[in-house]
Amino acid sequence: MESSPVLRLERVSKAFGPRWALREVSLAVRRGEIVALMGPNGAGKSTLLRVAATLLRPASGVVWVEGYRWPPDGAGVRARVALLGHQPWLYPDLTAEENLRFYQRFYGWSEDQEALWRALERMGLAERAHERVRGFSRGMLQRLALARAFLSPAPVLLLDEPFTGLDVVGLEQAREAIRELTAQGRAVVAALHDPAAVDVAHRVVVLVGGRLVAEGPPEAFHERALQDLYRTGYAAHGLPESTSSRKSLLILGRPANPGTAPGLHPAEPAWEGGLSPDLHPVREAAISRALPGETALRSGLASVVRPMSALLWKDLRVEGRGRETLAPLLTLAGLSLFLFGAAFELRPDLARAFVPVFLWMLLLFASSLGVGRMMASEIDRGTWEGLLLVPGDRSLLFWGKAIVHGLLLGLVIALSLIAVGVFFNLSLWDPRVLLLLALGAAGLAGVTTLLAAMAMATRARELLLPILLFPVAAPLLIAGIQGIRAILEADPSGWGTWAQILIAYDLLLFTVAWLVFEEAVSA
Amino acid sequence: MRLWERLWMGITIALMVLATLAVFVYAPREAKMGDVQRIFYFHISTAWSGFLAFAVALVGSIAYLRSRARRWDQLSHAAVEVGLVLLTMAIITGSLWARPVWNTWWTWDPRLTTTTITWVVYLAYLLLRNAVENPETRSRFAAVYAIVAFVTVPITYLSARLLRTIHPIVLGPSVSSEAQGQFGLTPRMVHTMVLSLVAWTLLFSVLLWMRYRIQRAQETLEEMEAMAEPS
Repeated sequence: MESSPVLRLERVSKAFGPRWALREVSLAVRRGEIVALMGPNGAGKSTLLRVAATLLRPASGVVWVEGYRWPPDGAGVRARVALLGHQPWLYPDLTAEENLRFYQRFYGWSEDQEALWRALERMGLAERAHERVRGFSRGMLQRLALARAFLSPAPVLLLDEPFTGLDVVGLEQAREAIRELTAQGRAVVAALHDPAAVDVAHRVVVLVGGRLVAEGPPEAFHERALQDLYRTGYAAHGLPESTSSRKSLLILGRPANPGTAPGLHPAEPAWEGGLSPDLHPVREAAISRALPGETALRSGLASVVRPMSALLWKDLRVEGRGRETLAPLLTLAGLSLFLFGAAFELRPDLARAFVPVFLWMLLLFASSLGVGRMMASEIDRGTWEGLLLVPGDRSLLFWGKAIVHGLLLGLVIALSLIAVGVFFNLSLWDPRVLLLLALGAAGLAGVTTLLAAMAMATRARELLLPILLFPVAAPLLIAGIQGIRAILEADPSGWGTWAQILIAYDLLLFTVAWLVFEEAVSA
Repeated sequence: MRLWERLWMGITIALMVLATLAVFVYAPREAKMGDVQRIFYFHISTAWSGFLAFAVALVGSIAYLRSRARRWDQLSHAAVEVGLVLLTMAIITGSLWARPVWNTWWTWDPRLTTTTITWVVYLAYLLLRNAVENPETRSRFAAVYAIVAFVTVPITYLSARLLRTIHPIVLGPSVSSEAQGQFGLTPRMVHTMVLSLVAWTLLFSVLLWMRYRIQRAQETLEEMEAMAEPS
């Protein structure tokens, strides 16, 4: 008896601007089934996987995973799928083992050390588990990315070009692992290019021009058949006479030239119900254990604290080893204060008026440069997509990143206050000053996290971020400067008013940034 | 152009002519400032319409994020463009008034500063749109930023009411006793002000509608051009 599909795409379409990347694609995949997704370059294979993984929102149609429907329930679907993307989503300054451990915690998977080591061993990386990923070859990165995908307890695995860069041993290890996972009842959809690799699958479906045009058993899709299909698929979805394996293929859609393909089947996805007879037997019990989504969605506070603490740990470790942001930023802050002092040679009374201005300007620039750099690193490494796949609400990502960015700004403030004491003989270690600066850093961290997530994905990047940030943050800056000036001039009512304005604007800005973050990062 | 559109534009033009006549003929000459005070009718009306435009952009952006329907993004985009033009007029007319009354084109007063912040925020909105290639991403980012940007609008409104400012508050109470150029409204001034506000609001709605339609036509054309290109 056949089980119901664990993954179902219903008439999914996706357009990028005026071009359709997917057009009414329907596909059903059952537990224990491996489906190879084939098609020429630009056929929409990666788009299909990204839609199913909730990284892209379909223009129309829906994705069902175990009763969870996307859209709208991206969080529910994310908890039940694992995606291996084009990029490996690995942090070069973490070791192989640390990378996997981070994703275990961040995605809310079981923190089973044994399973982690098994995944590394399975992909032949156990001996290099404690080496930083920075030194890994492309093939080793792919092995590690596969190990992460195999570590996931999700019932659906979406693999985009899983065998890219693998040597023959790695290839066999990966194929074996995929077979094992499907024997446990997982469903696998793998986008493949190489016709020689499709024998791992139970079923092959072919996408051409965003449409599913053919499906059948792997043996029907040898190189010549695929070439013919790719050449003709865009225009007609028909099968040329020269294709010898015509009888074993099911061609979907109406042909432009019926004469070339007399045995065509109707366009409706009749193949939805048809599984290959050689499917591995599914061990349902093997997948009855807690899925990441169930863990993440049900366990309340832990589901919030775990990914956030994982993110914090990861960012601190990456920064501690790479020293990509903090060290240059602190150097720049100290240097700026020194140059400011040297250029203006401020008398003490003038210093009291000007130093608060410079301090807040420094905070603003640190926010733009530092947070922008950290976010740009995530996007350039391709790890941002991996973070967006966090099961559950993506506002966790906002909070986690905002905390990290707030800590970064806190360190800049601490160093700047020391420098102000040395260069201007001005002590600003007053609790009220610290409160204002802390509030400012919190507001800036929140809004910069949001704006950097958008700006770093644009053409103008580092240049655009300050343009977006500075005017929005200007009221914070004004209130902060005036508040510190009022404290230095011993004007208690003045500082109270500015502190109230700062708090009100801070709360407003942070809340708005938090509320719209999910929309900003959901393509 | 459809009949109701022609009617709408006709009424707007008639009211604009009437309002302009009222400003220069019907409204009395202010005792202290003289004729320069008449610029206030334009200043307040353009400022009001500008901020109304940003409120429309906010509503359109929220609606876009909820529905992902392009028309809402097009409405927001049009509203920001029209709003920026109107707010620019408000800033320029304010500056023209300030020169004879405050003896300066510009001063770092909270109201002036916060209004300029709002102006720059919405200019940044247009730059953001320009920096994104993918139309969907562009619409999404723009909608998110328009929501964040609107946070500066109440700050601008409240700045002249909560902080020490020399900017006069003509409508509503003010805590500042330092306002320079403050004046009381006579009944004729109130009539002129109301007429100006209505006329400029209508003008805003017409401009918004026209810009929105051009926006839609432009995007449709771009889509058709892209579809016509060989793949």
